[in-house]
Amino acid sequence: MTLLGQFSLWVALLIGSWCVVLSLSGRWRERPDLERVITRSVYALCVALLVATLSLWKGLISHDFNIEYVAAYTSRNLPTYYIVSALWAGQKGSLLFWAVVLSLFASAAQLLTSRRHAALLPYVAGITSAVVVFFVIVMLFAANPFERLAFTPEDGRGLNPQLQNVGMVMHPPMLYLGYISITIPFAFAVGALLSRRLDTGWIVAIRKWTLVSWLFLSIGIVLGMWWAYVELGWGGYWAWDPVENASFLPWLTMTAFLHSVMIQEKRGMLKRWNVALIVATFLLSIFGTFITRSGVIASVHSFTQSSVGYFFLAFLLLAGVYAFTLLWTRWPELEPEGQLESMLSREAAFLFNNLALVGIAFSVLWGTLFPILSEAVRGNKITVGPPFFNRVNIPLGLFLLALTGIGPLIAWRKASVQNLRRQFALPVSAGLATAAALFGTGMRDGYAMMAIALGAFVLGTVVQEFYRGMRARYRMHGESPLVAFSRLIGRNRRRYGGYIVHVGILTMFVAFAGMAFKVDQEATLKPGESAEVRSPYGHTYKLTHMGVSQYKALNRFVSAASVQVERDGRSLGIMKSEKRQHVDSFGRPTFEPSTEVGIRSDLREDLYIVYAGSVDGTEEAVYRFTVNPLVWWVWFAGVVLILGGLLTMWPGGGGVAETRRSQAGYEAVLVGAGGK
Amino acid sequence: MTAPSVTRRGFLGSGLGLGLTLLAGRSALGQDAQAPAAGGGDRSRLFDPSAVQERRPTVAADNDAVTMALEKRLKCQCGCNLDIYTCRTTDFTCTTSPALHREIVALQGQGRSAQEILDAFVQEYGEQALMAPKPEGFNLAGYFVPGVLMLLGVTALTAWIMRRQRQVALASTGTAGLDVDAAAAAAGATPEEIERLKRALAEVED
Repeated sequence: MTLLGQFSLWVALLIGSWCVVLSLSGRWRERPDLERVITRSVYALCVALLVATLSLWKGLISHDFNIEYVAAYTSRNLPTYYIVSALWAGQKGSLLFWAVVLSLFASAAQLLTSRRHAALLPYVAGITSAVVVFFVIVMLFAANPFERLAFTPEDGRGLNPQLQNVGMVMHPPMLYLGYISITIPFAFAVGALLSRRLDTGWIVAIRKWTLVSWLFLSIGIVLGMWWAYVELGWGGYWAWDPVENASFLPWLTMTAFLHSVMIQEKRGMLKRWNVALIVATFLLSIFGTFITRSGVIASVHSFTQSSVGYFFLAFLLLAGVYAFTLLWTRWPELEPEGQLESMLSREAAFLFNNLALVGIAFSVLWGTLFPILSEAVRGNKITVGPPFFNRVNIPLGLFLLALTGIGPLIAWRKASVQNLRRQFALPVSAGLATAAALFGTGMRDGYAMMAIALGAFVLGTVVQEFYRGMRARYRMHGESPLVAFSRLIGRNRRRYGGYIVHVGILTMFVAFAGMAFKVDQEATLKPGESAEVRSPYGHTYKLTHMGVSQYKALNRFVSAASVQVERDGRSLGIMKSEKRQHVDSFGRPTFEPSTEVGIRSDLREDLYIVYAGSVDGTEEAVYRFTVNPLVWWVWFAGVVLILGGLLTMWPGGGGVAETRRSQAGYEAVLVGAGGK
Repeated sequence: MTAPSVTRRGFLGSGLGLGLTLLAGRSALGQDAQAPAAGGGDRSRLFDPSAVQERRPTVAADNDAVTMALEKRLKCQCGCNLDIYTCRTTDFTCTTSPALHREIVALQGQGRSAQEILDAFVQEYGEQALMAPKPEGFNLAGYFVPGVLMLLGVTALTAWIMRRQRQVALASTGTAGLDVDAAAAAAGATPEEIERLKRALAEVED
């Protein structure tokens, strides 16, 4: 199968290169039959890569340990679903995964794009194929997943224990899908620049794709946070690690684009900015891959350091120079059609929102790269960790949260003072009342208070928007609240889906604020002994060590420490934290013992138990007990965010109707101003 | 030989005892099949101690808030990229972070202040021992460039919007007095169309 896989990669290289040359040469403009050839090349490329992927999967499932990748990431006793997920567990396999998914997306773009935008498709085929070809080149010349060993081991090394978690089965593919799908909007943007079709056509063509990318990135990031929390055992979910930052960067610029594109659709403004944002998002997704795979910046998540970093750096520079040069040459053709009329307008609020999002992206990028910059300038190695990122980014994040509430309250074009008073009265009151209540109950952490108060303000804006919409429907159609609510969302999914996303974001901010009150405590307990931990809410946990039991499981030897948990004298049951010594099929240890944490979650807080080890090889256990406030709400917020995103991109729902309605408003002004 | 005789009371007593034992057993199993019974502070040896990391018993300094805060500001030197506190309470295979923790406790024991301990670590391991660089010299760029750029961005954007606003105001003086009705009437709209336009506008403004 490796021969077939290897052969398929070479075939993919040839077909992909052919497609790129044919597409970018422009010959198809004179010979329309070549357009069909280009489209079929995209499908053929996809088939070749699917064959390569199936070949590697076959090697993984059949335990062909002569393949270096199979021996490095699986073992005979590894559960099947982890064997399947081993495709993206290592550097080489994940490159193949990336290439095949991109070719699937490229084929989907050719198949699903409306005929109205058909003129852009040959360019899209060329750009997507160029990116696929790059990944195939990296595989063939630097990180071949089909590389064979000089001997065949009896068993493989197995999968890293920390990757043996359901979160790791889902998190990387989701994140990859987000990263990879960004290529499609990028290809449309470059296609629009190349073809000089710079009206809003390409924006409409990529609307769904940008939402798909944003949604996958969001799911990937939230799943990554969840995995870090339940598996890594440090009691948190975000550490500003370079690889985490790398996933956050394209999410920020994509979010900025999703807001600014509305201004282009409604007012024909920000055309240059929108192209720049899409290009930047694509480059940041490649930058993230470069960071993860080059080893240029130390990270707990990185793949092993390898030469592929140079390939990514070269590609990053090439793609950046090409795209921005192209943008520069088309600059005069991207003149805005409308004009910004007032500081007190939704357009202005969206511009500030974009500034905040891009500002945070820059700040995160700056912090991530600052150690390299410092070393280059001063020759001095420094560390830029969470204290730095929190200090710099929390104020920017709060500014963004405030704008999340302000934007939807201000009318398009120009808001009157009366309009502002009417819109802001309730949300601002909600924010101020929350701040006063928090202060009254003794909260003194300034940032946490601001986050919660601003959260209340944003929630106030969303509730108000829903209430007014429902009331209008009731007045016009006499609908019951439930019917009005569902029709309000159903008729304008983009707008109200967006508000639901805002609820997810504000909930996340409030939940993050909870971590300011985290409690950590270590204890060494003999069986029967107890430790007490005081929660930030004032109640006391009594944690009694019951002992350590050891037993064999599928591919590991487990040492489970059990703790009887009581809260204010009331029993909450037994929690367990484990040490797992993973072994291969011959019973030989494969990795150092790993830790499985015990988590008891409720709406207020999580009790997080880590069995750190034992004293003198006895049942006397060393524990770390942590009380993490509001963590449940982070996952809840993630679900709300994703539901809001799904609602926004669900087909139908009056997006076009809304655009027509809003355009009707401007038509009057344009008529009044003397025509277009 | 006489057969052992069992009295009725003895039989009932044994039956009750057996029943209670079984119930207690079921109850314990119901809680957790793997969980051993709670002991009274004895520490029996593990079946396989090598499957679990060896740890030292916790001492008061391990839970000292000042020590924890200090350790969160210092990087572990094992190459993990984590601070000392996170590393020693997460990566239980690391031998560096517990040693650094003991070093901090020892320095505290000598009466050194937090700043002196930070300085001692910087002297020993270089500036990268700090989780965030000192806000001095070139490092100030790290702290302030994003904020300054953001402020500049806000100022520039505000100025740009204000300029646009003035331009639009100047341009609209020529068409002053033209409201929706006048504009629509000028475009030859019927009263019904004007009414529909007004409704559409109201909806958009909401």
